[in-house]
Amino acid sequence: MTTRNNSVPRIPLLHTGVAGMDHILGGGFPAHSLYLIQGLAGSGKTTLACQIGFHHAHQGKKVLILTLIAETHDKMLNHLSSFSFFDETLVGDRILFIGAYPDLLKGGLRELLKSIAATLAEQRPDIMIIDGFRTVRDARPSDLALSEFMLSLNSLVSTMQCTTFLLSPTEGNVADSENTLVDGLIELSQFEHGLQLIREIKVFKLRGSKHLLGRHVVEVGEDGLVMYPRLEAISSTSGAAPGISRQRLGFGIQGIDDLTQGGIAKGSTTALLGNPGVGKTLMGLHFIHEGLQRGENCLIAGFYESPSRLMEKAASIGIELQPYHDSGALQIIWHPPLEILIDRLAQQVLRNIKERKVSRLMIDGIDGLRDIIVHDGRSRSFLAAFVNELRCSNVTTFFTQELPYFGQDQLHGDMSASMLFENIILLRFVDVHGINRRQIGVLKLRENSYDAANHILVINDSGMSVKAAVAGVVVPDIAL
Amino acid sequence: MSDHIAQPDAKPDGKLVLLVDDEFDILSTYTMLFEYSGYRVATAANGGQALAAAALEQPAIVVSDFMMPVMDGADLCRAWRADAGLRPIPFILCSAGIVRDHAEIAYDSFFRKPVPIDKLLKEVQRLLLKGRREE
Repeated sequence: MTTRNNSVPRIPLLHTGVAGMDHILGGGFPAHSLYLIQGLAGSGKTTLACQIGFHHAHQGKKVLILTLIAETHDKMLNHLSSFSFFDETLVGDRILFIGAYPDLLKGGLRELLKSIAATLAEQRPDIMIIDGFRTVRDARPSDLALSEFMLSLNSLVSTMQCTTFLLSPTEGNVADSENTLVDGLIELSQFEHGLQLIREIKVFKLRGSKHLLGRHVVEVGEDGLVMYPRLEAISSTSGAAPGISRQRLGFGIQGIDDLTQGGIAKGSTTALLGNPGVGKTLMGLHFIHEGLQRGENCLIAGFYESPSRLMEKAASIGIELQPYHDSGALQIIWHPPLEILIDRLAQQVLRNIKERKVSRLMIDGIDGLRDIIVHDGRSRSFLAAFVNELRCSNVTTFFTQELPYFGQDQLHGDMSASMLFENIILLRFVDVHGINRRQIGVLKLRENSYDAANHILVINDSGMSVKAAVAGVVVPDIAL
Repeated sequence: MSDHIAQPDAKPDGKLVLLVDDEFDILSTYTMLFEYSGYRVATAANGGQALAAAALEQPAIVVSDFMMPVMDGADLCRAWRADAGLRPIPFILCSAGIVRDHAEIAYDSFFRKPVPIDKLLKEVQRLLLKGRREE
């Protein structure tokens, strides 16, 4: 009898169980392959590999943690025990710790490879983690011997169908065999921004996978590592295009719906520009309240005013948000613009929109967003990606944007960012016969004609209202 | 293959498997795993070397790659079957690519690479048992 096994073998993907990581990897690690996870001390590589290991051990898979010169097993277990993924009952059963340094010491790479082969054949693990892999180079083999070792190890883990992670305290994509003869190279690093330290992951290569390029932010918490795929990378690869809606959403403010001839387009983004105290947030609250009254789910993401302060502010002009907040129709995400990661916040907002089918969103304000974008030159591309994601979510968004107290050419510096928005409404104080008056003007409105005249805006106990058009263009004679 | 990674120790009482492959990492891996399973292993980097090795000591079974220099796996298989002394010895052919004209190659089993070791060992055992029964 002749046996023909001629079908093309397809490599399945190994899902990591690490929040956000599979997205960065393009679905997961192609299984039965050899990967190098590198990063300097404290970068989180051991935690990451063990988190993946425990995730699979929980699903009944067998994991082998082989150590060279690395932390002792009891210390490693002690450190891992602080994470929620750690399960002591798996250790010794589905998660095995084996020290391999004596084999390296005894017979060099040959003995180490034989020992690994024998251990794999005996234990049949699904996943193997080799911690302290740098020790292999520290043993000072010739370049050729190290290349042969890497090639044989790669072939061995493939043949044994054991997805293997090598952990090494190195950095950079250099032409060493540890980097070139693996199927994937991943680096965990740390980025310093002032006194702040931000963890990052970068995938240098991952054969057989469409991974996201560039750096992505990582956090380490009690659940282990959480990764936030860079929004710009997601937005570029998703190919999702925002829909166009003819439906108009009103503001719930007397006069503004006339000014905008029925409101703004559903799913559009609006910049509310204005001087401090002119009423940007109140106008946004009006818009949110109008949606809530119509039975829509709404979301506010803010940086400066706490939820209680915001609701007090709304109540002061007759807008009662508390019942909607209590019922869950209104949710408020509030973070002071300090050491909050922009990628985490963006993900939190987008997930909230998706899960609750949020129809109206107010970001109060865009300056806070910019403050927490710590990477130089990222601000504009991040905002473009964020706005695009919001449009694709079909949520109608108001961004408040602060203008300076002083200066006649106050708009110019911020206009480039404002080009991101379909609608721009300007609120400002103007000096009218010696009196500071609030004035509202529509600068831009997508797919709708609008009243281009500036109008007087009034705020009192019963809310906002728009009065008659100001005659002619009103420009303050002196800086306000 | 350099002398830094030598062949692992063989077990003298095991059946001899002849591994033929021009990729040293495959030879290295299969050698370690076959020896771990109790076989003795001889290796060759192409069909010509395989015939020379078989002349020195006849193996119990051959596991050969298809695409190799000097003499490929198909020609080795033809030469194997043409030799009255070697003809009864089971022949397993493996290839990473598509092999055309399968019907013209008189192998016992064919596998697409990479071959999981369990699958390969099982087939080796099956063919060896079958050969023993036919004796």
